[in-house]
Amino acid sequence: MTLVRPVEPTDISLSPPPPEDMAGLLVDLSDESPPVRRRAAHNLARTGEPQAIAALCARAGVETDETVLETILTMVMGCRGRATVEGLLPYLASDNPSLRNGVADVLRAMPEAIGPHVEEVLSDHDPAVRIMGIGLLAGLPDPRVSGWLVEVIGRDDDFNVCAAAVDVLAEVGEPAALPALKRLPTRFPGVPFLEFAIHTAVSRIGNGEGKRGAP
Amino acid sequence: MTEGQQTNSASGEGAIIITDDDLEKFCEFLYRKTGIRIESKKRYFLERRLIERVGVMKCANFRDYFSLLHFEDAGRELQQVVNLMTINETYFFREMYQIDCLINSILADVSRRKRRQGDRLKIWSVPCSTGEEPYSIAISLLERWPLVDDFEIEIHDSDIDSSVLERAKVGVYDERALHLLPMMYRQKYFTPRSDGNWQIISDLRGSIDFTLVNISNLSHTWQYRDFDVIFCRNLLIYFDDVSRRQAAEMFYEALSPGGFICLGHSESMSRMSSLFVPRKFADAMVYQKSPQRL
Repeated sequence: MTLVRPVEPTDISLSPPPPEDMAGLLVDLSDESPPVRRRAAHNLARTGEPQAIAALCARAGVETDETVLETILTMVMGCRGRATVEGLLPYLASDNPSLRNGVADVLRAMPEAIGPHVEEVLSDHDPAVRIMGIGLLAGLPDPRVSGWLVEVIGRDDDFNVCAAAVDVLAEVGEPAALPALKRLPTRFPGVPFLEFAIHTAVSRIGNGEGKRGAP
Repeated sequence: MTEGQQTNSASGEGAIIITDDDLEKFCEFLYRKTGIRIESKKRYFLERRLIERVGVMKCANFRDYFSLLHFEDAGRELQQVVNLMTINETYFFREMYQIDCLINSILADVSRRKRRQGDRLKIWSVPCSTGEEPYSIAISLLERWPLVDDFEIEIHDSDIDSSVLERAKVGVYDERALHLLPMMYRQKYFTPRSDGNWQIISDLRGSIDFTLVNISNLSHTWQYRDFDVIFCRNLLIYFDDVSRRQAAEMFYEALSPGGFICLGHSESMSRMSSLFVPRKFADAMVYQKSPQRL
């Protein structure tokens, strides 16, 4: 029979080698070899130290290997909290779509930590960042979400930002959002798509389908 | 159940009470230890089993039991709970199209990268449950892969449930588990028992390594490296997004460059992680670690 038992049967009672010292891991995070960088990312995340989280977030911004970037983002996803959110938020404006979208995925996974930063993101000078921020609100279990979106459609001058907010309001909007939605066509007159989106949102909220958890 | 409601094991004195808050804490604890999320619709299932364990461990109440779970060094009670929470429904040649894909396509790709005859070829089945999947793989390799004698093939099999691993090692199955297995294979690789069941022959049982592994625990997985093919079917559906991504990371590190991972029919690696490349073969869609990546 050509099936053979493993040469060294796996013994899970053995502990993994302890992470190297922080300084060594930080050096490895910039090593030229992707596997070394991935291993450093794993071990830095294991420490849970704020310095390690900050280093991982910083590395994400310059990482060129897609597998290492994926590893870094997955590792920081498991380190929920303020340090991770603050380290990643600037990348919502990145020109690198892998980084930008990857960061949005990570932030969506830690809604409880995003709340304090919502107003900052929704006021960013870059409309693309504001749109990404609105996308994060769809999954945010925060009673202020509908109100934030109402503020956006009342003040934001970018048509696409307002359209994104209307789409999310259709999913999570509360009845208090209806007056602002009905006023919105006067800010962007003659845009059939926006009128259609507003009509959909108003209908859904009016039918009680907009608010998360409503019948 | 609404917030603040309680569950009683029975009416009257001595009833074990588990509140919604208790259940939340337990679910969070189980998630941190295993990556498994218990859906709200399964809460009744969970409550009944926890009440049973509180009684078995002779704890005065759930709080004492939860404390025991937290602080018991050996982790024996945690293992008991995990065994109760996992589902082990399987049979021989289940979702055979992926094993067909292994034989017809994947191994041809893998074997081209091996340097010479006699090289090791490593396959990992996780979760292996009571052994039906790894034994199905082994039998299929021996019977259907023309190059089977050119390599030394290691089949590693792991599960988080210690009780199913013991059953896998013994390798005794009833008619239901064998209903898809061709009779010629049954006669060749099993011996009949007086109780009507069938036992895997000792040669085959002795060729396979069964180990207790929690794939969310680095202490368990760090030694698993250089695999050519991993079968991880119908497990990640029980994980949340974060745990799925972390599992994908672990599998990526466990695979050799160019190695393959096979998921369950309803699972998609592309929705979990961008580390792998989808490969569409005639029999199945599987996922590959790039041959150029280290």
